[in-house]
Amino acid sequence: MKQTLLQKNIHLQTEEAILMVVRKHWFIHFVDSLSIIIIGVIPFIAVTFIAPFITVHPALPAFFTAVWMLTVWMMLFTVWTNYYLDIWIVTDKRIINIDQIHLFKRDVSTLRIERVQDIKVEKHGFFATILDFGNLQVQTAGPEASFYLIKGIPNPAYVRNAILERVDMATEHKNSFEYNKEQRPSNGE
Amino acid sequence: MDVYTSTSVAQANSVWGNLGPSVWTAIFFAIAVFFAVYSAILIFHWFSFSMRSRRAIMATVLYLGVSSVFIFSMLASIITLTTL
Repeated sequence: MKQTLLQKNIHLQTEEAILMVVRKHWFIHFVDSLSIIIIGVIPFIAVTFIAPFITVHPALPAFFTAVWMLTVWMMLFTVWTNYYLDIWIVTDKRIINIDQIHLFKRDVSTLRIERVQDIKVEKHGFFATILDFGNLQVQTAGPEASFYLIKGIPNPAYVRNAILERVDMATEHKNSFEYNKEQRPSNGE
Repeated sequence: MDVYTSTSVAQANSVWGNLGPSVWTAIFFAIAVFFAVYSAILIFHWFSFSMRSRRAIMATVLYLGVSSVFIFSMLASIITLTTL
């Protein structure tokens, strides 16, 4: 099922195997959600403090609280959607970055594994160190060297090692292929 | 207490209290339509781009289940405001 849905969205090449699917660390989602949850609590605090001093129809605060909570609930699921659909897929041939910026903006970029030159792991802050999440900065080879930043992923060192292992395999395969190509004409002579 | 139940609160009471049933019905339907459109966009995203359909179904059930509680609370409040 997972493979079918992925292929529907991404179009994997023939014989391309998915090595890992990486999503942002839960703590990043928790921090994003926390501010919305705090906003959601406001009407309950307001009603508790203001209720003794005013007399309104009891259905009125109930109505506004329900509208407020519905809005907060929708916001919470919007944040979750952005988190859930923001993924990186590492295959044996490519790194696919699906960046869900907001509901109407979705960027999909691909980096071929042979183009990866170096990967740097960045962990900044107390929670990133304790909970083991951070950024991966992938440097690409080529005439225009560029960086490919993957933010807030769990266990970044493991992901880096897995990608570099695959890069080494791809490089060795490429070198042996080129070596055989150079050797073949001389064997025939 | 009298300080807080003075003019501004009295005005607020009179403004919201004097809204007729048709206005409350219009407010409710405006919120309901907005919710329906926004929810359709969210659910479309879950089923189109999600990798696991089971998780998308669970999210939809949770989202609509809790949302329906808020919508029924809104409806009950409006009925109370307009009838009592």
